[in-house]
Amino acid sequence: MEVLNGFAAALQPLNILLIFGGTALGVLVGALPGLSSPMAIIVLLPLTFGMEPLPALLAMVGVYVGTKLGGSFSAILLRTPGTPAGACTALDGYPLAQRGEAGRALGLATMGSTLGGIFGWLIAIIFVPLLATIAVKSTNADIALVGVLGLVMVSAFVRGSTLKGLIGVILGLLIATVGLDPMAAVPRFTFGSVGLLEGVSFAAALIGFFGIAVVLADMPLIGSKSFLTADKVSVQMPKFGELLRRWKSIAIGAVYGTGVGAIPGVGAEGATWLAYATARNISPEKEQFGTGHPDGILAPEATNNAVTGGTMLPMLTLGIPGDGSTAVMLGALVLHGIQPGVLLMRDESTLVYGILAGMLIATIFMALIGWTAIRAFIYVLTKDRSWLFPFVLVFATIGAFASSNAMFPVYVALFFGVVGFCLERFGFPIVTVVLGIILGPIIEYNARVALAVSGGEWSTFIDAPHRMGLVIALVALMVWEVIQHRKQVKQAKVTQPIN
Amino acid sequence: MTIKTKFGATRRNLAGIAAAAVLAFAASPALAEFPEDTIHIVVPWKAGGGTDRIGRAIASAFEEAAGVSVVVDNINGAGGVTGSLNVAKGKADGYTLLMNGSSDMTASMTFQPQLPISLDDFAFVGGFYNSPTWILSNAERGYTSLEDLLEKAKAEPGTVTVGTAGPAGAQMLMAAAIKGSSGADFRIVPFSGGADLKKALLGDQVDAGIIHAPVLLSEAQEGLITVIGTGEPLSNLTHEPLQGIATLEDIGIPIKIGITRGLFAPKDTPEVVLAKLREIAAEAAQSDGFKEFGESFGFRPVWVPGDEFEAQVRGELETFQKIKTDFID
Amino acid sequence: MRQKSRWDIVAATIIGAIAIFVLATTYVGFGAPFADAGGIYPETLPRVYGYALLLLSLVLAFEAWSQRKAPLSGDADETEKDASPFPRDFPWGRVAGTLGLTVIFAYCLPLLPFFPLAAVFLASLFLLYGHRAPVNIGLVSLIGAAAMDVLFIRILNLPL
Repeated sequence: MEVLNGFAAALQPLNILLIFGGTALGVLVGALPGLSSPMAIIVLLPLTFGMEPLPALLAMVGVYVGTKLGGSFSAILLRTPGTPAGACTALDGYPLAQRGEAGRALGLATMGSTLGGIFGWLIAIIFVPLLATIAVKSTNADIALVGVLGLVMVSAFVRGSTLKGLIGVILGLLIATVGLDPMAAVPRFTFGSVGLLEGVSFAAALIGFFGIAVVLADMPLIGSKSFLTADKVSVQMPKFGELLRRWKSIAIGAVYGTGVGAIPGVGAEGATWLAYATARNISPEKEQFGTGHPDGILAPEATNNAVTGGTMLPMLTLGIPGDGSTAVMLGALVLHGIQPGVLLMRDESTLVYGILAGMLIATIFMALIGWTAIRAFIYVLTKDRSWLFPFVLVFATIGAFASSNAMFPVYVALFFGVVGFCLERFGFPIVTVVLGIILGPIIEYNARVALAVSGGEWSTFIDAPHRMGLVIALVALMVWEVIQHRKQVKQAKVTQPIN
Repeated sequence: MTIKTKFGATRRNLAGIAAAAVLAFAASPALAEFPEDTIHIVVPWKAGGGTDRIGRAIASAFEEAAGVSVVVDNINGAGGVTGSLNVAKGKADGYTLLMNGSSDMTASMTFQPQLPISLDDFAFVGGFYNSPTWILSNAERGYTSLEDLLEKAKAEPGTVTVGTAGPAGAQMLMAAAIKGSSGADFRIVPFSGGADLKKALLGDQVDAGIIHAPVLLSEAQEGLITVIGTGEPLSNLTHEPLQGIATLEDIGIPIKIGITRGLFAPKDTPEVVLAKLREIAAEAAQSDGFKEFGESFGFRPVWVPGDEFEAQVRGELETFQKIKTDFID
Repeated sequence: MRQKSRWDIVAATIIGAIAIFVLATTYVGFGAPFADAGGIYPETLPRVYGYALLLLSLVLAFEAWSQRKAPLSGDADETEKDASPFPRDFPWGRVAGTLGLTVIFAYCLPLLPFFPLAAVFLASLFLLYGHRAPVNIGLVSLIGAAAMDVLFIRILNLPL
């Protein structure tokens, strides 16, 4: 079977070394706020020119996998995610750490990522042909519907005022419209600035909201003892039994991650939020989400590693990248003389399955590295914030710069840092704004293309069974959310006089 | 006042020597051999994309020819404008170059004349990779030529869809030109970029798509995708059977559309440096390494020397502007 | 737990203003698309968002206003009223200082070489946050800046 051939190719000593090195580098790069996976992979590109395609790609895959875990470490310990994919983990990871259970949070993140990565990988391998077909057949209408679905789930993130959450979403959606209109290429809200023509850089906004705003908001924490007690924080890997109990969150993550990753254009960034929202909605303890619920860590963590498996599929089977890292990897393939495309699986099956095998191996290495490195991370990341924050600021600045090698995104990041800080002060959940920024362009672009292809017929959104299903799910979800909100309001009314 | 140092030189002498040394260093850049330091090639697109790959390939060939290390900087934004501006306004010492596609630049200048960038901001080193823009259709649709498609469009106006790999690029201009000069009424659907159009073509969601060659070449080779037309002759294509596809001119639409990737330097770059750059670029473009890349990418490289390249690009800008006024506005 | 106070009215006003600004801009127009629009124009979605935002800000203002007039009940309201977004005991000096220094750092980034600039930036922040030992500050700033210089410029080749 080709899969076995792939493993045989990947398990050469040099390749194993490269995977390990790549993964370690990835975990490190991931943990540093502002530095991202595409950046690290681009750096590897010239270094791999002399190598055969498989070793080169294996190193890159290692980095890709590793950053997903590294990013979560800083999210849990500092509330600042090292990579965009780790942002959702902070929602429950940080509060859990604040409660003195940082070791447990980190352990959950590591195991969540590993299991999500493994299960996502299995799903990907088993369903390669199916997923490839879905990827090809998925139309812009489908993606638009999924985007709206994700948006409706937003209320899952709102602790407190749903109204403010909604306002946050709309603000995010508006921010996302800044830039060139995706179909008419006319500038919107740019007021003549060339820098804004490309729109608000997602990386810059994220760095602003989750990096700079956090530094500003957590300023009072400077000087006070770190929330970790004087005792050394011990790494606490979750027990097997616990993981078994919480299988749903991991499964949700694995399925969402692989699925979302496999459909180019949906946006791998949004996957973790969708998984989190779903895990919360089906949990009997949903009010605890946001205060340190383990499922709130497992779900997004499983997702962001499953996504790596997902995005590899269209990259390898269609030659279409799902995110920045896979785009660079595609470029690497071409520079090594390999033509990505529909025929890659057929013509270079050892290479393809070798890469996929490498991904699994990288996931296992990631677990090992995570487990041993947790101590080092805890050591560094729990130092007094007065030492850490300046470094975070430098990394944030450079990270914003490096997102497109220009100074403008840095100012954008700073702007959002202030905006995010103010929003938080006024009680608006920043998370909803971020969701708006992520989902806005996806929904608008895909809906408009869908309409353009169908010639203005809105029926295109329901003219296929799965689309009908999505719309029904959408409506059902909205109704359900309204009911939930009503319940909440009633409860609040009942308890109010006692206040 | 003279002070004897332990070498016996006087202070005044030392000053004189220092002054001479400073002058020598100040004068040396012009006299010394260019290049001596790392050269930066700015690719104004995200890493991993088609232009980026071509840029990295030429950078690697450039490095061999120049003898110094060459680094690629991806400065993306605004359809290539941010990176281009960066180079145009940068130091004109020959150490920072722009690598971009001719029609990417001219198209954005055509659609957005208010942008603070123009062809006059650059000195043209030369063009080294030319690929036409072609029209593809999923084989399932059954079109064998562009004329087929246009016939259907004329017979059933408003039903045929043609996607473009970008809302305001050479592809859109080509679509508009075809629509305008043939009189066929088809719907132009702008996709966000090549990747999305590629997906739509593979998924058979549009009747045809206009995209830079050689995207989807391997699929075309396999017969999954049909090449139904092209903006410029495909004679340089490495895949022989497709070399003879009819161009727009062949079927009566007198427009040529393709993209030539080239190297640009800021306009005030000294002549000496510019000449050396052209020499190096010519060598790089014609090197075996780059030829190999070209073969595997899909087209054999060409070398278009600086002045010829400049004329070509300026001509292209005029063509695009005419298409816009004729068919779009 | 609802947290409505008079500050929400401030927030609602700001947001309402943004909404009106957005709507005004969309009516000025963005330009006509030249490809098939499918019924949605560049202004469409921003306009929808603008109206939604306006509506929501009005609701927010209304709710905040009516809560304000609701009968008070005990000291829970004391804390609610005092839930100003700008409490006295917040280290505003540090926040302002941090922002200012970061802006200066960003501004100087293309002008000055990275290592000295980063070292100075780090050191000034350390001072701002209360550190006083010159040896500590100096060491961490220099070593930190050097390490980052190596990372960003040598390894990642960022064009700084």
